[in-house]
Amino acid sequence: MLFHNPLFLLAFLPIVFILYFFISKNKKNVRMYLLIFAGIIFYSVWNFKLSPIIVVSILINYYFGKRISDSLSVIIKKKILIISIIFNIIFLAFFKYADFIIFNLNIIFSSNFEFLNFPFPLALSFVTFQTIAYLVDCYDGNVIKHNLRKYSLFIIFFPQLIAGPIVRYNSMISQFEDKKNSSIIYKNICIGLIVIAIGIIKKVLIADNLSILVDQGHNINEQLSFIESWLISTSFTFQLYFDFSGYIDMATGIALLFNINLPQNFDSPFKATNIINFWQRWHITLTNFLTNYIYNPLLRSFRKLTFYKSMLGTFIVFIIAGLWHGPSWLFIIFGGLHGVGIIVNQIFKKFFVFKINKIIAQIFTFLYINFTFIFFRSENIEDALRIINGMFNLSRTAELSFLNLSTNSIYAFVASILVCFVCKNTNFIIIQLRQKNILD
Amino acid sequence: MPNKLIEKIILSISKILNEPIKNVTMASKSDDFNRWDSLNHVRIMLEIEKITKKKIKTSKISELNSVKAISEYLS
Repeated sequence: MLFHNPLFLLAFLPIVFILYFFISKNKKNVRMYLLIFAGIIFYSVWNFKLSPIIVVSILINYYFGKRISDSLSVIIKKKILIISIIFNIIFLAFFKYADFIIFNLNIIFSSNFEFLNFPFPLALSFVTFQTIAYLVDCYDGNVIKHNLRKYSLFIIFFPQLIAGPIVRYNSMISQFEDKKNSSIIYKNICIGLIVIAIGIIKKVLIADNLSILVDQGHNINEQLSFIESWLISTSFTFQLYFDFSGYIDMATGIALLFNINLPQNFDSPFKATNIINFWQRWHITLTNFLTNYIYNPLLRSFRKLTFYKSMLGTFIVFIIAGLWHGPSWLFIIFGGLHGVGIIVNQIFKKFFVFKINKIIAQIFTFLYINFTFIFFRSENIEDALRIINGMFNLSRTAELSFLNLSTNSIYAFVASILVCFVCKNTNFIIIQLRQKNILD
Repeated sequence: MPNKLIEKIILSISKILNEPIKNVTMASKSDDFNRWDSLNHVRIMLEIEKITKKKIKTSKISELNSVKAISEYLS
């Protein structure tokens, strides 16, 4: 079930909302069970047969978390933490990467292993990272009282279950337990509905209209001219942003109806002036996860920390980030290119002392990001190279003959430019609305 | 937290960031220094671990982005 689906907006969400606040605020446990049940239904509508996987993951990881916290010996704690993280990585790899591994093994060893064709359980990538953060929190002693109901809700809270943002246990559960959040807050409902509407506009009016253009372009990419190739690549960059940030806006708005604040995940990423800055603005909760749970421990594991070792660490982290997005070499290339971008940024920062004009820096950054996203969208490397080739094929500069440009797609493209480069972002709007007495 | 320890930490931060010691105070934050990036942040954390002989929790590292936060965490 998607957030902009009428079944969700007109039936599921209102029913859960009414039931949640209909239950007495003294019965917090019952409210939590309701949200857990709603989360399971929300997940099951997508694929009923795969929903037990998420339940099994919750039960096993709750057990791991409890064992980590209950252990008195630091060595045993550490052992259980390592085992539990490995378990989660294998669990994810089994469903998401098994065929990718087989594909590569067949190429390397000229073997003929058959693909397993496992269906991929939706949300497992996000759940895995969120779970690892929880297990580390258990190891660090940040989770004091273990409670299966609270842990289940932390994982399966439906607004952020499918596509994040990646949240931390204590920051979520403390909000559910806060007395101030137990009653209906009309201001939150108003802001929530506005943010949901912004999300729907981003997704339905902009991203979906751009996707028609992008799909068309990728289907005929051999014939694309210079202008068409640029139009397709930039349209996809905008499509991805509006699709994802629109979904995050809807998640933020829906959570706000229940008086839950989700962390900011996007901060006008195309206004970034370099690649480091881009990752501080794009999928912020993923960047935080990668920094806290992969980059920092990796750097700390080096015997002597040098600049070059840290750059190696950066590259490894971005390869992992790329692979996390999907089981394909194209995602690995995408991650690798961002890793290289950050390394080049760091080298410039360290060895050169000159400042580029802000607007020029912004344009260069956007062009590089746009280039990397070609690999994110393409079906294979040949497709990606064809689009890139078109972007440098100046012999067919002015042609715009192969694409069927609809009015909606053109409007969506123009709106994308305005929203990304001129307008303020959703988080700014939320802050402004909070400061104003919108109900007075 | 003892003043001597804070002084040692401030001295280490100033060395790692290549900043004059007078520029690093109790009110200093990572945003105040261009050189307090992710690499130097890990360096600072490793240096604090060395000084205090205490291991900093993985989940806390990113939160310790100011001298005040470091001081509060260690006390």
